[in-house]
Amino acid sequence: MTSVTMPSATESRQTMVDRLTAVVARFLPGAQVTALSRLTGGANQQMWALDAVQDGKVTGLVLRQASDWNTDDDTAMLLDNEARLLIRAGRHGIAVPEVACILEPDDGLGTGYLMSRVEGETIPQKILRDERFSAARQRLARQCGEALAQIHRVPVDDLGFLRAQSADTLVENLYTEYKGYREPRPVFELAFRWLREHLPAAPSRYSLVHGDFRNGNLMVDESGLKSVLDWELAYVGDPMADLGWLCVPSWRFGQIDSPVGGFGSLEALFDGYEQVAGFRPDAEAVRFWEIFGILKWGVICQKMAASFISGTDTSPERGAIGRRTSETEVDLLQALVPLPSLSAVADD
Amino acid sequence: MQDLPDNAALLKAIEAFLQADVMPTAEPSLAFRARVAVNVLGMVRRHLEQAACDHGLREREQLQALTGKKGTMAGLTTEVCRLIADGTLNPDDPRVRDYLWLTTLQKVAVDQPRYVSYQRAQDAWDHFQHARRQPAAEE
Repeated sequence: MTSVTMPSATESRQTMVDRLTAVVARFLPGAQVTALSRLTGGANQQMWALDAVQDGKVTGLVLRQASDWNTDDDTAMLLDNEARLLIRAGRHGIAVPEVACILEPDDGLGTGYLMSRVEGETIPQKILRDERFSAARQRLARQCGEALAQIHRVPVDDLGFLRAQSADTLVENLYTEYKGYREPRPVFELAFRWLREHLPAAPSRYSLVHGDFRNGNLMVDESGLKSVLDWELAYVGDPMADLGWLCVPSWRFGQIDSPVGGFGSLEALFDGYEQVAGFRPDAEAVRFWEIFGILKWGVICQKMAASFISGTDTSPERGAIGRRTSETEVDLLQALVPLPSLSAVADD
Repeated sequence: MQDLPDNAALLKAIEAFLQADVMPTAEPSLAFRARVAVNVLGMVRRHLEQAACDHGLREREQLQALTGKKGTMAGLTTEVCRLIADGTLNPDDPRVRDYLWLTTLQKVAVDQPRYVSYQRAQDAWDHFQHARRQPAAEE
Protein backbone atom coordinates (compact mmCIF):
# COMPACT_ATOMS: atom_id res chain seq x y z
CA MET A 1 0.00 0.00 0.00
CA THR A 2 2.25 2.79 -1.19
CA SER A 3 0.45 5.50 -3.09
CA VAL A 4 -1.64 7.70 -0.86
CA THR A 5 -3.85 10.47 -2.18
CA MET A 6 -5.56 12.95 0.06
CA PRO A 7 -9.14 13.89 -0.78
CA SER A 8 -9.13 17.08 -2.77
CA ALA A 9 -11.96 18.92 -1.03
CA THR A 10 -11.10 19.59 2.63
CA GLU A 11 -14.76 20.26 3.42
CA SER A 12 -15.95 16.86 2.29
CA ARG A 13 -12.98 15.37 4.12
CA GLN A 14 -14.07 16.98 7.39
CA THR A 15 -17.62 15.69 6.85
CA MET A 16 -16.24 12.24 6.29
CA VAL A 17 -14.10 12.41 9.45
CA ASP A 18 -17.16 13.52 11.46
CA ARG A 19 -19.27 10.67 10.12
CA LEU A 20 -16.49 8.14 10.69
CA THR A 21 -16.07 9.40 14.26
CA ALA A 22 -19.73 8.61 14.91
CA VAL A 23 -19.31 5.10 13.48
CA VAL A 24 -16.09 4.39 15.36
CA ALA A 25 -17.79 5.48 18.62
CA ARG A 26 -19.92 2.33 18.39
CA PHE A 27 -16.93 0.13 19.22
CA LEU A 28 -14.36 2.64 20.56
CA PRO A 29 -16.37 5.22 22.54
CA GLY A 30 -14.81 8.67 22.54
CA ALA A 31 -12.12 7.85 19.98
CA GLN A 32 -10.82 10.56 17.65
CA VAL A 33 -10.45 9.74 13.95
CA THR A 34 -7.11 10.92 12.55
CA ALA A 35 -4.76 10.32 9.63
CA LEU A 36 -7.54 9.61 7.12
CA SER A 37 -5.94 8.83 3.76
CA ARG A 38 -7.12 7.19 0.60
CA LEU A 39 -5.38 3.92 -0.26
CA THR A 40 -7.01 2.83 -3.51
CA GLY A 41 -10.15 3.59 -5.32
CA GLY A 42 -12.11 4.22 -8.41
CA ALA A 43 -15.33 6.10 -8.97
CA ASN A 44 -17.53 3.76 -6.98
CA GLN A 45 -15.33 1.73 -4.66
CA GLN A 46 -12.63 2.98 -2.33
CA MET A 47 -10.30 1.95 0.47
CA TRP A 48 -9.22 4.41 3.15
CA ALA A 49 -6.76 4.09 6.02
CA LEU A 50 -7.50 5.82 9.31
CA ASP A 51 -6.41 5.80 12.93
CA ALA A 52 -8.81 5.76 15.85
CA VAL A 53 -7.16 7.34 18.90
CA GLN A 54 -8.73 6.54 22.24
CA ASP A 55 -6.96 7.61 25.48
CA GLY A 56 -3.68 7.85 23.58
CA LYS A 57 -4.03 4.34 22.18
CA VAL A 58 -3.95 4.15 18.38
CA THR A 59 -6.02 1.54 16.52
CA GLY A 60 -5.26 1.22 12.80
CA LEU A 61 -8.39 0.74 10.68
CA VAL A 62 -9.29 0.40 7.03
CA LEU A 63 -12.58 1.55 5.55
CA ARG A 64 -13.85 -0.39 2.54
CA GLN A 65 -16.61 1.63 1.00
CA ALA A 66 -18.79 1.70 -2.10
CA SER A 67 -21.19 4.32 -3.35
CA ASP A 68 -24.82 3.31 -2.93
CA TRP A 69 -25.25 3.28 -6.67
CA ASN A 70 -22.43 0.81 -7.23
CA THR A 71 -23.84 -1.48 -9.90
CA ASP A 72 -20.71 -1.84 -11.98
CA ASP A 73 -20.51 -5.60 -11.63
CA ASP A 74 -23.61 -7.66 -10.94
CA THR A 75 -21.53 -10.69 -9.95
CA ALA A 76 -20.07 -8.81 -6.98
CA MET A 77 -21.92 -8.88 -3.69
CA LEU A 78 -22.69 -5.79 -1.67
CA LEU A 79 -19.89 -4.85 0.67
CA ASP A 80 -21.95 -5.34 3.82
CA ASN A 81 -22.47 -8.94 2.72
CA GLU A 82 -18.74 -9.24 2.10
CA ALA A 83 -18.24 -8.17 5.71
CA ARG A 84 -20.66 -10.88 6.92
CA LEU A 85 -18.70 -13.44 4.91
CA LEU A 86 -15.38 -12.19 6.37
CA ILE A 87 -16.77 -12.59 9.88
CA ARG A 88 -17.89 -16.13 9.06
CA ALA A 89 -14.52 -17.04 7.53
CA GLY A 90 -12.64 -15.59 10.50
CA ARG A 91 -14.72 -17.68 12.90
CA HIS A 92 -13.64 -20.79 11.01
CA GLY A 93 -9.97 -20.05 11.45
CA ILE A 94 -9.17 -18.43 8.11
CA ALA A 95 -6.72 -15.53 8.20
CA VAL A 96 -8.84 -12.52 7.21
CA PRO A 97 -8.99 -8.89 8.35
CA GLU A 98 -11.12 -8.52 11.46
CA VAL A 99 -14.37 -6.66 10.76
CA ALA A 100 -14.82 -3.88 13.31
CA CYS A 101 -18.17 -2.50 12.19
CA ILE A 102 -20.58 -2.70 9.24
CA LEU A 103 -21.84 0.68 7.94
CA GLU A 104 -25.53 1.42 8.24
CA PRO A 105 -27.54 3.57 5.81
CA ASP A 106 -27.91 6.39 8.38
CA ASP A 107 -24.13 6.67 8.68
CA GLY A 108 -24.07 8.58 5.40
CA LEU A 109 -20.97 6.77 4.14
CA GLY A 110 -22.44 4.43 1.53
CA THR A 111 -22.14 0.65 1.79
CA GLY A 112 -19.15 -0.92 3.43
CA TYR A 113 -17.38 -1.69 6.65
CA LEU A 114 -14.45 -0.88 8.90
CA MET A 115 -11.82 -3.52 9.51
CA SER A 116 -8.58 -3.85 11.42
CA ARG A 117 -5.48 -2.75 9.51
CA VAL A 118 -3.21 -5.72 8.81
CA GLU A 119 0.43 -4.96 8.11
CA GLY A 120 1.79 -6.80 5.11
CA GLU A 121 2.47 -6.72 1.39
CA THR A 122 -0.06 -7.31 -1.39
CA ILE A 123 1.86 -6.06 -4.44
CA PRO A 124 2.65 -9.22 -6.43
CA GLN A 125 5.93 -8.00 -7.92
CA LYS A 126 7.32 -7.26 -4.45
CA ILE A 127 6.12 -10.58 -3.05
CA LEU A 128 7.79 -12.38 -5.96
CA ARG A 129 11.06 -10.45 -6.05
CA ASP A 130 11.95 -8.82 -2.71
CA GLU A 131 14.68 -10.61 -0.76
CA ARG A 132 12.76 -10.23 2.51
CA PHE A 133 10.01 -12.52 1.21
CA SER A 134 12.34 -15.32 0.08
CA ALA A 135 11.42 -17.58 3.01
CA ALA A 136 7.75 -16.72 2.60
CA ARG A 137 7.88 -17.71 -1.09
CA GLN A 138 9.08 -21.18 -0.10
CA ARG A 139 5.97 -21.73 2.02
CA LEU A 140 3.31 -19.77 0.23
CA ALA A 141 1.96 -22.38 -2.20
CA ARG A 142 1.48 -24.89 0.58
CA GLN A 143 -0.14 -22.27 2.81
CA CYS A 144 -2.49 -21.34 -0.04
CA GLY A 145 -3.50 -25.00 -0.31
CA GLU A 146 -4.20 -25.15 3.40
CA ALA A 147 -6.17 -21.88 3.39
CA LEU A 148 -8.26 -22.94 0.38
CA ALA A 149 -9.13 -26.27 1.98
CA GLN A 150 -10.24 -24.36 5.09
CA ILE A 151 -12.31 -21.93 3.00
CA HIS A 152 -13.99 -24.82 1.22
CA ARG A 153 -15.16 -26.25 4.56
CA VAL A 154 -16.84 -23.08 5.82
CA PRO A 155 -20.60 -23.70 6.24
CA VAL A 156 -22.54 -21.08 4.29
CA ASP A 157 -25.98 -22.63 3.73
CA ASP A 158 -27.58 -19.78 5.68
CA LEU A 159 -25.84 -17.00 3.72
CA GLY A 160 -28.53 -16.38 1.12
CA PHE A 161 -26.58 -13.76 -0.80
CA LEU A 162 -24.13 -16.40 -2.08
CA ARG A 163 -25.25 -17.77 -5.43
CA ALA A 164 -24.77 -21.39 -6.46
CA GLN A 165 -23.09 -21.66 -9.87
CA SER A 166 -22.24 -24.82 -11.78
CA ALA A 167 -19.31 -25.09 -14.18
CA ASP A 168 -21.76 -25.29 -17.07
CA THR A 169 -23.56 -22.09 -16.00
CA LEU A 170 -20.30 -20.21 -15.49
CA VAL A 171 -19.05 -21.20 -18.96
CA GLU A 172 -22.32 -20.24 -20.67
CA ASN A 173 -22.56 -16.92 -18.79
CA LEU A 174 -19.01 -16.09 -19.82
CA TYR A 175 -19.81 -16.99 -23.43
CA THR A 176 -22.84 -14.71 -23.39
CA GLU A 177 -20.73 -11.87 -22.03
CA TYR A 178 -18.00 -12.45 -24.64
CA LYS A 179 -20.58 -12.48 -27.44
CA GLY A 180 -22.02 -9.23 -26.07
CA TYR A 181 -18.76 -7.42 -26.84
CA ARG A 182 -19.21 -8.30 -30.53
CA GLU A 183 -15.52 -8.85 -31.14
CA PRO A 184 -14.76 -12.04 -33.09
CA ARG A 185 -11.97 -13.93 -31.34
CA PRO A 186 -11.12 -17.33 -32.87
CA VAL A 187 -8.89 -18.33 -29.93
CA PHE A 188 -11.75 -17.67 -27.49
CA GLU A 189 -14.15 -19.73 -29.63
CA LEU A 190 -11.66 -22.59 -29.53
CA ALA A 191 -11.29 -22.30 -25.75
CA PHE A 192 -15.06 -22.20 -25.18
CA ARG A 193 -15.43 -25.29 -27.32
CA TRP A 194 -12.72 -27.04 -25.31
CA LEU A 195 -14.35 -26.09 -22.00
CA ARG A 196 -17.74 -27.42 -23.12
CA GLU A 197 -16.13 -30.70 -24.13
CA HIS A 198 -14.18 -31.02 -20.87
CA LEU A 199 -16.70 -29.97 -18.22
CA PRO A 200 -15.62 -31.63 -14.96
CA ALA A 201 -17.98 -34.01 -13.19
CA ALA A 202 -20.08 -32.14 -10.64
CA PRO A 203 -18.27 -32.25 -7.29
CA SER A 204 -19.72 -34.51 -4.60
CA ARG A 205 -20.48 -31.38 -2.62
CA TYR A 206 -20.67 -27.69 -3.50
CA SER A 207 -18.50 -25.44 -1.35
CA LEU A 208 -17.89 -21.85 -0.59
CA VAL A 209 -15.62 -20.61 -3.43
CA HIS A 210 -13.60 -17.47 -2.70
CA GLY A 211 -13.81 -16.46 -6.35
CA ASP A 212 -10.72 -14.22 -6.55
CA PHE A 213 -8.01 -16.08 -4.64
CA ARG A 214 -4.84 -15.03 -6.47
CA ASN A 215 -1.53 -13.25 -6.14
CA GLY A 216 -2.64 -9.65 -5.60
CA ASN A 217 -5.42 -10.47 -3.15
CA LEU A 218 -3.13 -12.23 -0.67
CA MET A 219 -1.46 -10.26 2.09
CA VAL A 220 1.98 -11.66 2.81
CA ASP A 221 4.67 -10.99 5.39
CA GLU A 222 8.08 -12.54 6.01
CA SER A 223 6.48 -15.69 7.42
CA GLY A 224 4.11 -16.21 4.49
CA LEU A 225 0.36 -15.89 4.06
CA LYS A 226 -0.99 -13.32 6.48
CA SER A 227 -4.49 -12.53 5.27
CA VAL A 228 -6.91 -13.42 2.47
CA LEU A 229 -8.56 -10.30 1.00
CA ASP A 230 -11.29 -9.30 -1.48
CA TRP A 231 -14.16 -11.72 -0.92
CA GLU A 232 -16.79 -9.92 -2.96
CA LEU A 233 -16.77 -12.43 -5.85
CA ALA A 234 -17.44 -15.42 -3.59
CA TYR A 235 -20.11 -17.94 -4.61
CA VAL A 236 -21.08 -21.55 -4.00
CA GLY A 237 -19.72 -24.09 -6.48
CA ASP A 238 -16.88 -26.40 -7.45
CA PRO A 239 -14.03 -25.78 -4.97
CA MET A 240 -11.43 -26.66 -7.61
CA ALA A 241 -12.29 -23.34 -9.31
CA ASP A 242 -10.25 -21.50 -6.67
CA LEU A 243 -7.17 -23.64 -7.31
CA GLY A 244 -7.37 -23.14 -11.07
CA TRP A 245 -7.80 -19.36 -10.79
CA LEU A 246 -4.72 -19.16 -8.53
CA CYS A 247 -2.70 -20.81 -11.34
CA VAL A 248 -3.74 -18.50 -14.22
CA PRO A 249 -0.48 -17.39 -15.93
CA SER A 250 -1.35 -13.68 -15.70
CA TRP A 251 -1.13 -13.95 -11.88
CA ARG A 252 2.44 -15.29 -12.11
CA PHE A 253 3.75 -11.82 -12.97
CA GLY A 254 6.54 -13.06 -15.20
CA GLN A 255 7.57 -16.07 -13.05
CA ILE A 256 5.77 -18.37 -15.45
CA ASP A 257 7.53 -21.58 -14.42
CA SER A 258 6.00 -21.41 -10.94
CA PRO A 259 2.38 -22.22 -11.75
CA VAL A 260 0.97 -21.25 -8.35
CA GLY A 261 0.93 -17.45 -8.33
CA GLY A 262 4.50 -17.25 -9.64
CA PHE A 263 5.79 -18.52 -6.28
CA GLY A 264 5.18 -22.25 -6.04
CA SER A 265 4.50 -25.68 -7.47
CA LEU A 266 1.27 -27.58 -7.93
CA GLU A 267 2.70 -30.32 -5.71
CA ALA A 268 3.12 -27.90 -2.81
CA LEU A 269 -0.38 -26.47 -3.34
CA PHE A 270 -1.93 -29.94 -3.48
CA ASP A 271 0.10 -31.14 -0.45
CA GLY A 272 -1.23 -28.25 1.64
CA TYR A 273 -4.76 -28.82 0.43
CA GLU A 274 -4.64 -32.54 1.11
CA GLN A 275 -3.30 -32.02 4.61
CA VAL A 276 -6.41 -30.06 5.61
CA ALA A 277 -9.10 -31.48 3.31
CA GLY A 278 -8.11 -35.12 3.59
CA PHE A 279 -8.14 -35.63 -0.17
CA ARG A 280 -5.84 -34.58 -2.99
CA PRO A 281 -7.21 -32.17 -5.62
CA ASP A 282 -7.92 -33.64 -9.04
CA ALA A 283 -5.25 -32.20 -11.38
CA GLU A 284 -7.52 -32.45 -14.43
CA ALA A 285 -10.28 -30.48 -12.72
CA VAL A 286 -7.77 -27.83 -11.65
CA ARG A 287 -6.53 -27.60 -15.24
CA PHE A 288 -10.10 -27.10 -16.47
CA TRP A 289 -10.55 -24.23 -14.03
CA GLU A 290 -7.19 -22.73 -14.95
CA ILE A 291 -8.21 -22.62 -18.61
CA PHE A 292 -11.61 -21.25 -17.64
CA GLY A 293 -9.73 -18.66 -15.55
CA ILE A 294 -7.50 -17.55 -18.44
CA LEU A 295 -10.60 -17.06 -20.56
CA LYS A 296 -12.39 -15.26 -17.74
CA TRP A 297 -9.49 -12.82 -17.34
CA GLY A 298 -9.56 -12.33 -21.12
CA VAL A 299 -13.26 -11.44 -21.01
CA ILE A 300 -12.63 -9.08 -18.07
CA CYS A 301 -10.04 -7.31 -20.26
CA GLN A 302 -12.67 -7.07 -23.01
CA LYS A 303 -14.98 -5.49 -20.47
CA MET A 304 -12.28 -2.92 -19.67
CA ALA A 305 -11.94 -2.23 -23.40
CA ALA A 306 -15.72 -1.86 -23.69
CA SER A 307 -15.85 0.72 -20.90
CA PHE A 308 -13.07 2.68 -22.64
CA ILE A 309 -14.84 2.52 -26.01
CA SER A 310 -18.20 3.54 -24.52
CA GLY A 311 -16.61 6.56 -22.82
CA THR A 312 -17.30 5.36 -19.27
CA ASP A 313 -13.57 5.44 -18.49
CA THR A 314 -11.30 6.89 -21.17
CA SER A 315 -8.09 6.86 -19.11
CA PRO A 316 -5.01 5.47 -20.91
CA GLU A 317 -4.74 2.91 -18.11
CA ARG A 318 -8.20 1.54 -18.86
CA GLY A 319 -7.42 1.39 -22.58
CA ALA A 320 -4.13 -0.37 -21.93
CA ILE A 321 -5.77 -3.05 -19.76
CA GLY A 322 -8.28 -3.54 -22.56
CA ARG A 323 -5.40 -4.46 -24.83
CA ARG A 324 -4.24 -7.13 -22.40
CA THR A 325 -6.87 -9.49 -23.84
CA SER A 326 -4.25 -10.78 -26.28
CA GLU A 327 -2.01 -12.05 -23.47
CA THR A 328 -4.75 -14.50 -22.54
CA GLU A 329 -4.86 -15.73 -26.14
CA VAL A 330 -1.16 -16.64 -26.00
CA ASP A 331 -1.75 -18.49 -22.74
CA LEU A 332 -4.80 -20.29 -24.13
CA LEU A 333 -2.86 -21.39 -27.23
CA GLN A 334 0.04 -22.59 -25.06
CA ALA A 335 -2.44 -24.72 -23.12
CA LEU A 336 -4.64 -25.97 -25.98
CA VAL A 337 -2.58 -25.84 -29.21
CA PRO A 338 1.01 -26.70 -28.27
CA LEU A 339 3.41 -26.53 -31.19
CA PRO A 340 4.55 -29.95 -32.44
CA SER A 341 8.23 -29.11 -32.19
CA LEU A 342 8.05 -27.74 -28.66
CA SER A 343 9.45 -30.87 -27.06
CA ALA A 344 12.28 -31.02 -29.58
CA VAL A 345 13.43 -27.49 -28.79
CA ALA A 346 12.65 -27.50 -25.07
CA ASP A 347 16.22 -28.42 -24.14
CA ASP A 348 17.86 -25.46 -25.88
CA MET B 1 3.09 9.71 -48.63
CA GLN B 2 3.73 11.88 -45.62
CA ASP B 3 6.92 13.81 -45.07
CA LEU B 4 9.55 12.78 -42.57
CA PRO B 5 9.88 12.30 -39.62
CA ASP B 6 7.49 9.38 -39.75
CA ASN B 7 4.75 8.62 -37.22
CA ALA B 8 6.76 6.06 -35.31
CA ALA B 9 9.64 8.49 -34.83
CA LEU B 10 7.28 11.19 -33.56
CA LEU B 11 5.70 8.80 -31.07
CA LYS B 12 9.11 7.68 -29.92
CA ALA B 13 10.03 11.32 -29.24
CA ILE B 14 6.95 11.76 -27.03
CA GLU B 15 7.71 8.52 -25.19
CA ALA B 16 11.24 9.80 -24.50
CA PHE B 17 9.91 13.18 -23.35
CA LEU B 18 7.54 11.55 -20.86
CA GLN B 19 10.25 9.21 -19.58
CA ALA B 20 13.06 11.75 -19.31
CA ASP B 21 11.25 14.96 -18.36
CA VAL B 22 7.87 14.11 -16.82
CA MET B 23 8.27 10.86 -14.89
CA PRO B 24 11.31 11.82 -12.78
CA THR B 25 9.79 15.11 -11.62
CA ALA B 26 6.13 14.12 -11.17
CA GLU B 27 4.55 13.01 -7.90
CA PRO B 28 4.10 9.23 -7.69
CA SER B 29 0.54 8.89 -8.95
CA LEU B 30 1.18 11.22 -11.92
CA ALA B 31 4.46 9.43 -12.65
CA PHE B 32 2.54 6.14 -12.73
CA ARG B 33 0.00 7.53 -15.19
CA ALA B 34 2.81 8.94 -17.32
CA ARG B 35 4.37 5.48 -17.41
CA VAL B 36 1.05 3.99 -18.53
CA ALA B 37 0.91 6.66 -21.24
CA VAL B 38 4.42 5.68 -22.41
CA ASN B 39 3.29 2.07 -22.62
CA VAL B 40 0.23 2.97 -24.66
CA LEU B 41 2.25 5.11 -27.06
CA GLY B 42 4.67 2.21 -27.48
CA MET B 43 1.75 -0.07 -28.33
CA VAL B 44 0.52 2.29 -31.04
CA ARG B 45 4.03 2.82 -32.40
CA ARG B 46 4.71 -0.91 -32.66
CA HIS B 47 1.45 -1.40 -34.50
CA LEU B 48 2.39 1.30 -37.01
CA GLU B 49 5.80 -0.32 -37.49
CA GLN B 50 4.23 -3.75 -37.93
CA ALA B 51 1.62 -2.47 -40.39
CA ALA B 52 4.45 -1.12 -42.52
CA CYS B 53 5.64 -4.73 -42.95
CA ASP B 54 2.38 -5.94 -44.59
CA HIS B 55 1.66 -8.70 -42.07
CA GLY B 56 -2.01 -7.95 -42.68
CA LEU B 57 -1.72 -9.37 -46.17
CA ARG B 58 -0.65 -12.74 -44.78
CA GLU B 59 -3.56 -12.80 -42.33
CA ARG B 60 -6.02 -11.99 -45.11
CA GLU B 61 -4.66 -14.82 -47.25
CA GLN B 62 -4.98 -17.25 -44.34
CA LEU B 63 -8.54 -16.13 -43.67
CA GLN B 64 -9.52 -16.58 -47.30
CA ALA B 65 -7.93 -20.04 -47.41
CA LEU B 66 -9.68 -21.16 -44.21
CA THR B 67 -13.12 -19.83 -45.12
CA GLY B 68 -13.02 -20.17 -48.91
CA LYS B 69 -14.54 -16.70 -49.04
CA LYS B 70 -13.58 -13.10 -49.69
CA GLY B 71 -14.52 -10.18 -47.52
CA THR B 72 -13.36 -7.78 -44.88
CA MET B 73 -10.92 -8.92 -42.19
CA ALA B 74 -13.66 -8.55 -39.55
CA GLY B 75 -16.18 -10.47 -41.65
CA LEU B 76 -13.79 -13.31 -42.43
CA THR B 77 -12.66 -13.49 -38.79
CA THR B 78 -16.30 -13.79 -37.71
CA GLU B 79 -16.70 -16.61 -40.21
CA VAL B 80 -13.62 -18.40 -38.82
CA CYS B 81 -15.14 -18.06 -35.34
CA ARG B 82 -18.32 -19.72 -36.59
CA LEU B 83 -16.38 -22.57 -38.21
CA ILE B 84 -14.34 -23.16 -35.04
CA ALA B 85 -17.45 -23.05 -32.83
CA ASP B 86 -19.26 -25.68 -34.95
CA GLY B 87 -16.18 -27.89 -35.21
CA THR B 88 -15.61 -27.52 -38.96
CA LEU B 89 -12.19 -26.05 -38.25
CA ASN B 90 -9.99 -27.46 -35.53
CA PRO B 91 -6.36 -26.94 -34.57
CA ASP B 92 -5.33 -30.46 -35.63
CA ASP B 93 -5.35 -28.86 -39.07
CA PRO B 94 -1.90 -27.22 -39.45
CA ARG B 95 -3.46 -24.31 -41.39
CA VAL B 96 -5.75 -23.53 -38.44
CA ARG B 97 -2.90 -23.95 -35.97
CA ASP B 98 -0.64 -21.63 -37.97
CA TYR B 99 -3.37 -19.01 -38.39
CA LEU B 100 -4.14 -18.95 -34.65
CA TRP B 101 -0.50 -18.75 -33.61
CA LEU B 102 0.61 -16.19 -36.18
CA THR B 103 -2.25 -13.76 -35.59
CA THR B 104 -1.92 -14.06 -31.81
CA LEU B 105 1.86 -13.61 -31.77
CA GLN B 106 1.55 -10.54 -33.99
CA LYS B 107 -1.02 -8.98 -31.67
CA VAL B 108 1.00 -9.53 -28.50
CA ALA B 109 4.17 -8.31 -30.22
CA VAL B 110 2.31 -4.99 -30.43
CA ASP B 111 0.38 -5.10 -27.15
CA GLN B 112 2.91 -6.52 -24.71
CA PRO B 113 6.25 -7.63 -26.18
CA ARG B 114 7.67 -8.17 -22.67
CA TYR B 115 4.98 -10.64 -21.59
CA VAL B 116 7.10 -13.66 -20.67
CA SER B 117 4.68 -16.30 -22.04
CA TYR B 118 4.71 -14.41 -25.34
CA GLN B 119 8.51 -14.25 -25.50
CA ARG B 120 8.75 -17.96 -24.88
CA ALA B 121 6.02 -18.74 -27.39
CA GLN B 122 7.67 -16.52 -30.02
CA ASP B 123 10.97 -18.36 -29.53
CA ALA B 124 9.19 -21.70 -29.82
CA TRP B 125 7.41 -20.54 -32.96
CA ASP B 126 10.69 -19.36 -34.51
CA HIS B 127 12.29 -22.73 -33.74
CA PHE B 128 9.26 -24.47 -35.16
CA GLN B 129 9.48 -22.48 -38.40
CA HIS B 130 13.19 -23.24 -38.62
CA ALA B 131 12.57 -26.96 -38.07
CA ARG B 132 9.85 -26.94 -40.70
CA ARG B 133 12.21 -25.56 -43.31
CA GLN B 134 14.42 -28.62 -42.75
CA PRO B 135 12.29 -31.59 -43.85
CA ALA B 136 14.23 -34.09 -41.71
CA ALA B 137 13.17 -32.26 -38.57
CA GLU B 138 9.44 -32.30 -39.40
CA GLU B 139 7.36 -34.45 -37.08
